[in-house]
Order: sequence, then C-alpha cells, then structure tokens
Amino acid sequence: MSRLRWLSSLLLRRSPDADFVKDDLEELYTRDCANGMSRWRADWRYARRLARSAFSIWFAGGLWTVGTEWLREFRIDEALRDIRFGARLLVRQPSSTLIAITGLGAAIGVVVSVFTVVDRTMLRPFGMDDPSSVVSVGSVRHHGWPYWPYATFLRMKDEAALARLEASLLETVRVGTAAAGEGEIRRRVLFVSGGYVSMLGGRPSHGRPLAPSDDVSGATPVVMISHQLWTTMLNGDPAAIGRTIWLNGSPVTLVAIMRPEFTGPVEASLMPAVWAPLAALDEIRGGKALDRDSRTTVEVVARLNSEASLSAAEANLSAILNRVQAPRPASDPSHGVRLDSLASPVAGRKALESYTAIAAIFGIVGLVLALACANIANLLLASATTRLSEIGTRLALGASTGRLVGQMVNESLLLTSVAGGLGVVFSVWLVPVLRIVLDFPAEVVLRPDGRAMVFATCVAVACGLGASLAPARLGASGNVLAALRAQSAAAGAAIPSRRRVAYVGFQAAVSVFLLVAAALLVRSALHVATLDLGFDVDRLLGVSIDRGTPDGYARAALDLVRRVPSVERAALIERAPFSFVEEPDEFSYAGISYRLNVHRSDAGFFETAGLRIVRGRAFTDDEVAREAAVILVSEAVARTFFPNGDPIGRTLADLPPGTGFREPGTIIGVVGEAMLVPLRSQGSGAIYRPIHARLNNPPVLMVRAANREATIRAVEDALRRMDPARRPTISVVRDGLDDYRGNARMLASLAAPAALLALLLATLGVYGVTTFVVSQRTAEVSVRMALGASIGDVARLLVRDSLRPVMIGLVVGLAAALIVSRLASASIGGVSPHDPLAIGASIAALMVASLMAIVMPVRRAARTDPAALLRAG
Amino acid sequence: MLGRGSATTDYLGEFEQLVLFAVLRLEDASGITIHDEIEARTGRDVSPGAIYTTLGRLEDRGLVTSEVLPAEPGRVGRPRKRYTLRPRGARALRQAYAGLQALADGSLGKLAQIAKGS
Repeated sequence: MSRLRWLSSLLLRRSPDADFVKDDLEELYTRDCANGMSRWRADWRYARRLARSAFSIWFAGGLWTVGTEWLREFRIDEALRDIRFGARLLVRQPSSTLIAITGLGAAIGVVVSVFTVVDRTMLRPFGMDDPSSVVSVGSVRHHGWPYWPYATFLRMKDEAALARLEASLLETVRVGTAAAGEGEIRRRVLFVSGGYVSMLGGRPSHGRPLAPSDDVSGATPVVMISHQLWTTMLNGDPAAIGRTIWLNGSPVTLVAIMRPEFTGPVEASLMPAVWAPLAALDEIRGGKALDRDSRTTVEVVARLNSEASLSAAEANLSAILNRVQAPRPASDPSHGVRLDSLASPVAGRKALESYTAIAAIFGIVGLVLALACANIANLLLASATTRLSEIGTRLALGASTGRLVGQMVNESLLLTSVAGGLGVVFSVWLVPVLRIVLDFPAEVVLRPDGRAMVFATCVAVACGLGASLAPARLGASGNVLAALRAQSAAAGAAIPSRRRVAYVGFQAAVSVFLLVAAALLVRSALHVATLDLGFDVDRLLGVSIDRGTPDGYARAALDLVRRVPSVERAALIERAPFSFVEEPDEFSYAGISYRLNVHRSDAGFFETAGLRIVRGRAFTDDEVAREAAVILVSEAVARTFFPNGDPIGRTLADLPPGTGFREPGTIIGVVGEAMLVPLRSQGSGAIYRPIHARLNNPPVLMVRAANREATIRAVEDALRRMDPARRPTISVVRDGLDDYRGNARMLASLAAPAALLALLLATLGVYGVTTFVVSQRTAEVSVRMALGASIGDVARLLVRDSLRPVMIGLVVGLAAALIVSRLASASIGGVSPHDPLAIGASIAALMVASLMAIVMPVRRAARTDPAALLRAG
Repeated sequence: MLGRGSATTDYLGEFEQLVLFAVLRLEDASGITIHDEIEARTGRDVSPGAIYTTLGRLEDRGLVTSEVLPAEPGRVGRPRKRYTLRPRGARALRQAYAGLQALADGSLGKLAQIAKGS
C-alpha cells in the first residue's frame, strides 16, 4: 500500500467514484512494486497519478462546474439556502425583526462613528514619512516637556551628530484675503524652522514646501495653508499659488497647499491651518525677531539618523545641553534630554493615557453594542424555540449538529449584516455631529473611510457570531427527543428560558450603569455652567508677556494700560485665572486633607477682578512693594480654621503645618469664594499674597473693561507704541472658562445620547421578551382565569415574573456604577459621585421604561377571552 | 458514412473517444482495465481520475451505463464498477470516428511525408 494513500482521501473526496479511483491507484502502485520498481519511485509515480486524477476531478466540467463545485465544496450554497430560509422566517415577524435590526444598526453606527474619530485623531501616524524615527526632544527635568529656548534649540541643532532637529511654535492669528481685514477668520498657524516640513515628509498637493531659505532673516514671508483652508477661503483654486494673503494684517505669499493626510506631530484639536517660517514670527505675530540669543520658547522635534539608536541620540543631545547650560554632574537625574516617539498620537509618553482613554471610550460604546446584540440573540432564540420540532425532525433524519449550528449562525449573520449596513449609513450622519460636539478644528478630516468600513464589517460579523451563541446551542445539543419534548413543552405553559432572562438582566444592568454615568456628567456640566465664579469674569482680559522681556516692562505696561480710556481697572497677578500652573498649600488636619490655592497679585487685583472683600482690607501698594508678610484668606478658610473668632490679625502659623515650606503671613482680610482655578483643583480655599517683586516668569496683566474688543485693540496699540519690538498676547479670560466648561459639556453631550440609546435598547429587549413569554403562557393564563383568577391577579403574576430579571440587573448595574463613579470622581467636577438625584433619576427612568414595556403585552394577554383560548387549544 | 440531415448532436472529445473505444473492446470494462487498454494501444499513461471523470460525464449524457460489482478475489474485498456502451454512445462514437475518417481519407500518405520531415 502506498504511503500516500491518506492523501488520496483528501484530494479525491469530491468525486463520487473516489473509492474506485483510490483502488485503481493502489493497484497500479502494487503492479509497479511487483515489476521491481523501488518503493520511492513507486510512491513518486503514485503521487503523479494522484495529482493528475485530482486535477481532472476538480476541473472536469469547466468554469461553471468549477464555480458551482467550489460553492458546494465550501458550503456556500448551504449558507445561501440558510439565508433565504432565515429571511423568510424573519419576514413573518416583521416588527420584531425591524426593531432588532434598527437597534443594532444604531449601535453599530455609534461604534463606527467613534472608531472614525479615534482612528483619525489618535491612531493615524500624522501622515509623516517613516514615523518610527521621529521623536520629540524633551527635558528630563520637565518630564519630557519638549519646549526649549530658541537659542538652545539652535545650539543643539548645529551640534547634534545622531539626529536632525527642527522646531515649531503654535500661535493663533487672523487670516484674511484682503488687506483691509474684511472677512478675517481666526486660525492656528505653526511657525516652523526651515527644514521642518521637508524633514517630516510634508509634501504639498500644489506648490512647493517651505525651505531653509525661507527661514532666514529678511526673506520674503511665505506660507503653506491646509487643504481645508484652501477649499473654504480660496475656493480650491489651483491658481491661488503665488497669491497674497494676510495674517494679522501682514501680507504673506502663498507657496503651497498641504495635502490633507499630513498633519505633522500635532494634536488633532490643535491642528494648524497655516505653516509659516519662524523668521516671519515678528512680522506676523509681533515682538522681537528671533536670533541666536532669543529665549522665545519653541517645541523641538527630531528625526533620528538611520544608524542611530534612541539612547545614543539622547546621550549626544544631553552632552550638548551640558555645554549649553550650566554644567551639572553626570549623576544629576534631572539633567539631560529625553526623546519620545512621535510615530503616532498614541506613541511615546502619552501611550498609556491614550490607550486607557481609547479603552474607556470603546468600553462604553461596546456596552451599548452588547445591548443591541442581546436583542438580536433574543429574537433568534425566540425563533429557534418555535422551530424545535423542525430541529428534532432534522436531527432524526440525519442532519449533523454542525449543519444546524451553521444554519443558526448564518441566520444571525444575515441580521447583523443588514444592521451593519444600516450602521454605516447612520455613521455618515453621526460623524459630523461628533465633530461639532468635540469641537475639532476644520482641518481635521472626519468621515467614515475604508478602515471604518472594514471595522464595521468586523463588528457586524462579531455581533452575528456572538448573537448566535445561544440559539446555536439549541441546534448543537443534538438530542432528538429533548428537542421534540421541548417543543411540546413550549406548546404548553412555558417558563422563560434562563438565557432570555439573563439577557434581560444584562440589558437592565448596562442601561442603569450608563444612565447613572450620563446623569452624573450632565449634572456636572450643569453645575459648571451655572457656577457662581465669585469674580467678574465677563469683563476681564489677560495680557500675557513673553519670557525674556526685560524687568520693568510689566509695571510700565500696567501704568500705560491704566491710562487707556476704555480700561476700567488693571492689575498684575502671577498666574492668570484657569491657568494650569498652580501653587498649592497642602496639609492634613483632623484626618482630613486640605488644599489651599495660593494666588499672588498686586493691590489692585481685587477691584480689577471684582472679588468681594467681606472683612478687613486688601493689600496696599506699599505692602506689595515691600513684599510684606500680609495675606487675605477665602471665606472657606476663615470658616474652617477660625470658626469662633475673627481671623483678622491671626497668622498662618495658626493653620496646621503643610507638606512644604509655608511663608509666614498675617491675615488682614477675608475674600469671598472665587473660582480662579479649574474646578477639579478648587480644593478647600485660597490664600492671597502680594506678588513677588522679582519673578522667574513675567506676570499677567489683568484688565477690566466693559467693551472687550475695543479695549483689546486699544491696549495692543498702546503697548506697541510703548515698545514696538514687543507684542504681548491678549486673551479673553472667559475663553479659558469656556474651554473648561466645554470639556464638561462635551462629556455630557457624548454620554447622554449613549445612555438614552442604551435605555431604548433595553426597553425594546424587555418588551420583546415579555411579549414572547406572555404569548407562550396564554394557555396558562386561560386556565387560571377559567379557574377564577381575576385579570388583576394574572397581570400581577406576569408583571412580577417579567420584572424580576430587570430588578436583578438594576442592582448589579447600580453597584457597578457606584464603584466606577467613585473611581472616576475627578471627571465629575462639582457633583458627588453618589449624587442621589442622578442615581434616583436613573433608577426611575429604567423602572418606568421597563414597566411600560412589560405592561403593554400583559394587558393584551389579560384581556383575552379565556374560553376562546381554551377552545383554540 | 453519415449523410446530410443526421439528427445526432453528441460530440465527443479525443479522450472520450479513446475511453469509449476501450469500453467497446473490453468484455469487462472497469477503470483499471480501461487504463491498461489505453496504455497498451496508445502508450498513454492516463490517470484513473481522468478515466472515471470522463466515464461519469459520459454516463450523465447517457452514452454508457455502469453497475457496481461485488468484490472479487485479487481486489482484496473491494467492489468495482463495470461500464457498458449504450446504443446512443455507439452512435456518437461511430459518428465521431466517421468524421475523423472522412477528414483523413486520402491524406495518410501526405501525413507520412510530413512526419518524415521531407
């Protein structure tokens, strides 16, 4: 016997004469051996005849036969039959099918939309060439923060041996197509060093990229603009290359349109619309022109040389830094350069945080998807339950369990494929809505693309397989008698299957979890939106002075600004309100942790900001000039630590000692509560001290004015006249608050619809299962009523049985929500993670929806004529 | 020789003609005997798969019939399939052979010259 006989079984099985062919091959082999042929040669001859036989069998009938044979071979014809059969069955229950498909389609639409946003903003590698070799150049001392003085960047760039360095600086400017400033729009501009764009692979779709020759002092200012800006502002005109556009009123020449795939290593929310050379910074933004001694801060990126390793490049740049800055011992752990990958938005030091956020986002939308899949599973389970006799008969006639399982899976895939198509259509509408809610700049191109389609397909297939698990088990059990007995039992008084009950409980648990999360976020957003800030934010402007400005500039600017007619008041403060840089004083007292925010300002700050001094007085100019040890405290501090007496005259020594050094201070006044820091940093109160006479960083000039726009222009003009070489940045303080409120609003805007969708899906699930179960129990209902049970008794019985899984799911989901909200309490500013109103409203919403879904079918069942039911058998 | 107006439409390929002639010649035409006959008469080592596939096609067209015979000594407990030519198959084979003869009539001498290379 040939050693290859086993192979013949595999290759010849498609032939109806496979056994005869195998026998003839074996006989020929035997003859060859009998004629003296060696076993190896005989096997070789056997293999050749086998291959030719298989070829003849597979390709005997031409392409049509091949096609149909292939279909039969891979059971695709069976799948098509299952799909046709499944479609006919589901058409018999159109409303349930439509509801289940629509629910899953909506959920898939949400998932695909979220994927589109996450993919575009977090997973795409910025459109750069060879992104794996692009890194950010950061400081070890500042935890990898990649910002350096321009002079330091130039030294590192000139002396780096293992990497090529380039720099950038992001600003917001007014962009217009006319010198007069009509139709100007505010957009971000990225000022870049000469080789930045070409190093990263930013090839334009039209024109030429910025070159090193554009980044020299005296060069004609030229810019590249984004594809989006080109289409909106210049109507996508290819002849726009060479035109003049205006940035902050300064003319520049347009030399290129950037292709839309390239964004450079910039966060999606900060994507620039314009790229300009750093040499044009003074002309466009104002201030002093950059030179080799400039201290202006720039962001530094690098591309590693092909042979260089990350560690070697770090060592090289650290050695350069050691020469540039004051030498430090090699053992100093805070010294040196740290390189982090910029291969994608989630690479490098942000990887853990980014992937955690992605996992959380998809976890939430995944829960909603699971809810919708549970509805599909319930629908299929109900359909399979009514076909138990069919299953039993087919098993008795010899159908394999694999065939039955395959049929269940194919039917499930049919439903989820239709839902997937619906979801893709839905996502085309939803993605632009997400863009508005998430407030991405227009440069971020968000639309479902090929990757989203592939993702949608995978999701639909996964849902189809997942939803088919329970009904497939019916077919996989293979027990004929059990199937037939179960059908006859189903014809009588059926008890809901544990699987269907589990699905309902799962849906209830997920719904209440998402409802609690959404309710907390909505409460937080409302709290932030209506919060009394305690100061007059609407009238305040902040004037930020660039680092490197000579000492005395700030005070001279203050005196000048106070003389501007539209300015009501002006003052200096070390850090602007809602700044992310804070000075906390932390300590523990009686087992409670306290955090006091320290603010340093001049005497005029309290009136300028509209802070209420409820007791005592503010600093005097003399006390500020002397940096006297006098302080004001907030009402919360006075209430907590001086509850029984007047805090005026007391000192900070009366407070519990802090974790760090606390400067001494005598309390001279009490200030009303004010939210000068982000809500999450509010802490337990505030301390106000005189501003330092000498500061490491320039202070912020706070300006109070009724007419903000007019005052901005007037202050800009005044400061430019005082020192034409400098142009401080003027911002509206309310914008910082709106950014913070925007985050809370954004989270609430995303969570609320997801929770409502989850509630709707769960309600549909409860309704569907209850309707089915009630229909299965009509005989039981009729018997009970015939035996004297009232409509109320029957209704109470059915409602109680249907509500039980909902209650179980509610308890489980609520427990999970309480745990998670406690862990994520930092994201829920201003609201307790166990807010009773939010939790109560969530429970009430689920109970009301579930009761409505249960009562409707129960009422129908309770109103039927028991005699008619019994006669109908 | 077939005249004009013949009603038959069963066209046969070259290999099908070989297989049918082998079935015609053999008293007991099965896969292995047909293989041996073709190999002996033509020198071609055809695969059993090709033979059975062709016979299956011919049977579907109604040109041959088959019957499965019980095992015989020598095949160690294995049955075999015997094929018989049907009248329709005979007509189709006759037509195909007649057509070949008609084309070849008078050309064999020229064929021999070409084969010699002169």
